[in-house]
Amino acid sequence: MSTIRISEDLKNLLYSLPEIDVESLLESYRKPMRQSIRVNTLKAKEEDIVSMLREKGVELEKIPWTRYGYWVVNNVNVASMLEHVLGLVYIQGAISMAPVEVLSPKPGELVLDLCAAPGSKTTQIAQILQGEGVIVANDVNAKRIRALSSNVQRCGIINCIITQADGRKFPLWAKSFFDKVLVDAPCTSLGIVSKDWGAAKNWSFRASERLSKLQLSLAISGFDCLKASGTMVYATCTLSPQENEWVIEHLIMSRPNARLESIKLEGLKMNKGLLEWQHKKFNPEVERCVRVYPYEHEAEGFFIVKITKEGEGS
Amino acid sequence: MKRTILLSSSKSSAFQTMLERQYGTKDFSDKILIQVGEDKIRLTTNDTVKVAEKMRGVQSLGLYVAKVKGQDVVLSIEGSQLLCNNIKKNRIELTEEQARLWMVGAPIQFERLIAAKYVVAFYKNICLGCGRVSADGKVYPQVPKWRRIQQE
Ligand SMILES: C[S@@+](CC[C@H](N)C(=O)[O-])C[C@H]1O[C@@H](n2cnc3c(N)ncnc32)[C@H](O)[C@@H]1O
Repeated sequence: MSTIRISEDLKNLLYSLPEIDVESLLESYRKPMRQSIRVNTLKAKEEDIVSMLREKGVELEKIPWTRYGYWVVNNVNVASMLEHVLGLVYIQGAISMAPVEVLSPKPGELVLDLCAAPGSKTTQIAQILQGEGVIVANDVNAKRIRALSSNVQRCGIINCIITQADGRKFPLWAKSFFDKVLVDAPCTSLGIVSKDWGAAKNWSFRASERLSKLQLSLAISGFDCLKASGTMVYATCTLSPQENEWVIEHLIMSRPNARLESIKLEGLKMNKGLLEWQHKKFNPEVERCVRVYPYEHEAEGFFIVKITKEGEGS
Repeated sequence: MKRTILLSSSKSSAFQTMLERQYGTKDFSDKILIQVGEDKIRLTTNDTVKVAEKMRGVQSLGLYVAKVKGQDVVLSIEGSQLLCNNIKKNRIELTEEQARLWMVGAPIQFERLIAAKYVVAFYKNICLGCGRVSADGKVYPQVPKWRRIQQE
């Protein structure tokens, strides 16, 4: 088996995380993740899509923490199937489906997906909205927006607006406007190393720290776009506390009306947010964040936090 | 973003008349039709249009459902899927193998003569958009390049 290269900084990070099982993590980095899909009920009934796939020999097993999500148990290439190109199924990581379940959008709501490309979560939100309400899917990167547009089209979504803007500027025109906001922030991707070994080889504290400043600005911007009583989910697919707990600690410091909510998802192994890292203590509320490690479900690693906006104003 | 305008009621009803003539249905229900550029039609909701007016950097809204080519309407895959059960005219049925070929972008040869310029392809109960019928009896799927299955 080929060996994965890990930067010195990453080694130091992993051994600084109190609860993580480093051996299992490195083992999971070497293996491909389990394949999973979401069946798209905007195109056909769930049971019809599932039986079409089963007829073609795809073995499916329901993922307990998300509606419409299935593990693909056997070795089939769903990407090249007709059902995929026609938009009846969307290939999406099993843990990547969790943030939208936590956000729990409802038909009729106004939803902002601030960092949306290539659209896995946008299309999942749209599916739950069932054509009622509006989703604004924003990204800063033109090339990635092309992939987002293709996925929104393939999934048959009529109530989506795709915008290209720096997410940090959004409150200039959309302050206190949305019922729900998702900030699925750009990150150092330590939860998906098995898809890209480069993330482990090149990982550095400096890059993570630089990114955390952008993440904090995006989180604050997303929060300011929420209506009073609205809900925001901040998520990353990385393990570094600098990009996770640190960001949330600073968000609640700068926005005293931000409340962290506890998260319940059936069947998903979740670890609490860290209260201390590298001699720094975080606000005890940060424990409500959840961490999912890649070896726990042979899937991605994620950090997810649910935040509500209390009272009036931003 | 390309120039986008709400279809005026006269243009909208002209579009629906063309749909009715070609496919035996005119109904995109209570949704809003918008025109993008010269010839593309997208479908969206009233609320989406209202919210888009407030946003900046808008690249697109709604779903691309059709292209108007002269006197003909060419439905996109999603456009045909929305109308699917109501399409009464100019339908062709594909086998699984033909449906795969269709999504590769390859022309499909038919034995019988098809007396239409454009037809909608069906595979089981799923619509696969329009194909252009040529004089030699082949139907050329109008599947955009980005949407095609890559051949192994
Ligand atoms: C983790 S990815 C999002 C994945 C996406 N939510 C999905 O589920 O398919 C992060 C995205 O943030 C975008 N991004 C980076 N900086 C940004 C900014 N300043 N404003 C908005 N988006 C940004 C990146 O282009 C990238 O597409």
